Amino acid sequence: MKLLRAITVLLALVALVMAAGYQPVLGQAATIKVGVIIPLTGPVGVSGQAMQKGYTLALDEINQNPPLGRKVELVIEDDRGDPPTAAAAFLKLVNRDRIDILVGGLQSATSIAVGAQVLQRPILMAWTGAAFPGFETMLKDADWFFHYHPWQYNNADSTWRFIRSTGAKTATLAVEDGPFGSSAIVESGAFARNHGITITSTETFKTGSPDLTPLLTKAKGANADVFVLVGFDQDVVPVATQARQVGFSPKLILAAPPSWPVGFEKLAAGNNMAGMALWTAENGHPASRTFVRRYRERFNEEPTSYWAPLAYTNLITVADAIRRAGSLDLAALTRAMKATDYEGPIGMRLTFKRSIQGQNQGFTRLIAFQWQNGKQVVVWPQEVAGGRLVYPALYR
Amino acid sequence: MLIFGVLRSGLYSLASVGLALSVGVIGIVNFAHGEFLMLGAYMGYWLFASYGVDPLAAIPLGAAGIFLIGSLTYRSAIQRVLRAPELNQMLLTFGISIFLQNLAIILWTGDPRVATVSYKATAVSLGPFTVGLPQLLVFAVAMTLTLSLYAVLGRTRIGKAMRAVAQNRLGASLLGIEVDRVYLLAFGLSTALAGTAGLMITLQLSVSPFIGLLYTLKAFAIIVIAGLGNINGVIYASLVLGLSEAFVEFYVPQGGGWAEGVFFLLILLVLLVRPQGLFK
Repeated sequence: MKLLRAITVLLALVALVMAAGYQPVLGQAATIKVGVIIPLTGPVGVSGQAMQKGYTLALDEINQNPPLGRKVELVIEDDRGDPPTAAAAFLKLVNRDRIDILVGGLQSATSIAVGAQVLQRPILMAWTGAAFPGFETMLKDADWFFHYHPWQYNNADSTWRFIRSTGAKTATLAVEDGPFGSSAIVESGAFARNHGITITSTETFKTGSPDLTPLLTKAKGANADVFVLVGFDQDVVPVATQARQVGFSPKLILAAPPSWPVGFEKLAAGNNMAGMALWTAENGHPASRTFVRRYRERFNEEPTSYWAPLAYTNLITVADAIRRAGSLDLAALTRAMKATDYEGPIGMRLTFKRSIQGQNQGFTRLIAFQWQNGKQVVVWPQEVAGGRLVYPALYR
Repeated sequence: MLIFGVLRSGLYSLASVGLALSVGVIGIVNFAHGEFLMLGAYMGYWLFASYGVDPLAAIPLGAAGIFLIGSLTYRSAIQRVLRAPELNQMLLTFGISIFLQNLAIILWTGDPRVATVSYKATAVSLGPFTVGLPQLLVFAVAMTLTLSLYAVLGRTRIGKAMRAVAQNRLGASLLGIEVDRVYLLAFGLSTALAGTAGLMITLQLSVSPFIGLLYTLKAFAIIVIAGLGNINGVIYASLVLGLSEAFVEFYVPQGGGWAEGVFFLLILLVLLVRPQGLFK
């Protein structure tokens, strides 16, 4: 009797173990795990949150028709804009969460920290962030690395191409004296020359300076066609207001901060200022309009940052590559990613080509917009323009 | 350049006089001073964005609000380290600074925000010169408040009590002055002045959780130039800093980058040559 009871218990245990072992077959197929490393908190947390919303929209769409019949699951890690946290997040994603693919990325410093880890444990890395060319050098031999955001030299090329398109002959530069500005000084000289623009003067300033009137007074004396500000969001307000106060009215004031201050659209002094970006919500491309509408419906707010459509594009193209690869094998995925040809909310065709050093570069061009009556009207390039550039602009 | 330098010194004196008060009366070096300025700036922004209140009209409410926050900070934290080593006091205020900055990021995100007051870009003519109206208004408010503080300290009972406590805490308490209450008032007033400077920043610039550090550094430079604890020297020291920066920015090639280093250079020179300050 005792023996019978023991055999029954043993059989029950074996049945349990077998049931557990066959669970994937009996239940749903395992999900495809996509690791996401973005800054949800910290100084650039707002851009990271916009990315999260872009990923959410893409995920809703992807899981309506899951690739390989398996739902996609996002495992999101907050890097807080801190490189060691970003590196630790990657290790956690590969070792504990066992992700299949890595996406995300915003800042150059955190991207470098993650890149150094991925080099040791290669995985498909579809990366949205970092414009610093040092990151490109670091991953120059990585076939599995796909970079979506334009590099810094692409940004500079777009900026000076746009300035040339206005008919301007001269420009004066105001450059913040940190790493962002100093690299721009080096690049601007070369790109301006290539596009036939003479830089009449270059002035540096400390970002966040409350009073830029001496700098603007000097720039007024230089009498160039275009005033180019290379600074951050907190610098555009003093430039817009104090330029008017000192009577500085070049033909165009162009700024390219990573983002614009909340409420800038209501600042009358900001009217006719121009900017460079990868995307704006005023982009007239049908896919962009659809994205803006869906974003508004889902989150009950306006998309203000290009990081949302960029993240959306990132995940949609990865899912598409999985479908075409037919598996999660790295070589197959890499081949499929290389064949990407996608036109989505960014409004420009996305294909991956070799860059100066990298194997797979996505977007290489920015668009130019001008603040016109509170709206970012896209004015360049012609094929995506939603309005005409006011040039010469009046800043009085 | 002379006018630009003088005008910017107004905001500098308002941002520094509170720090001079807290160093002079309580003897505490408040590294969170700039964060109270930042809270004042946010108060100005939200009052404008939500109710359309002009930052100038918001001064009484904003200053009272920051006074309350400053007083609570004093009661809950500063008071407990008054007799502790100076390093502990500094570390505590440094911690408060980090806490307030991160609180602002959590509450309002890191995005700069603009209060779009109608006269933000307006210029006015003063004889042959043209100056920005907001800068002129900020200068007027700053001078009025700084001189009013001097009057309070020199002529009123509570002001005399503050000066007495600053000179000799024990002697003042033996004369029946409630030292702790004076400290509370001085710290609250110090933060309220910083908050008012923040409200004035709303008139000219954008507001973000990170604006405090720059003003903390400038305020330290000014109180060192004035002489630690010398509240009366703050206006002169602010003029020295404002004019030096404006001249360097305008006359030195790439001067914008150098100008921000001016305050470090001034601190260094004063500490080496005249450690008691230029105006003491």
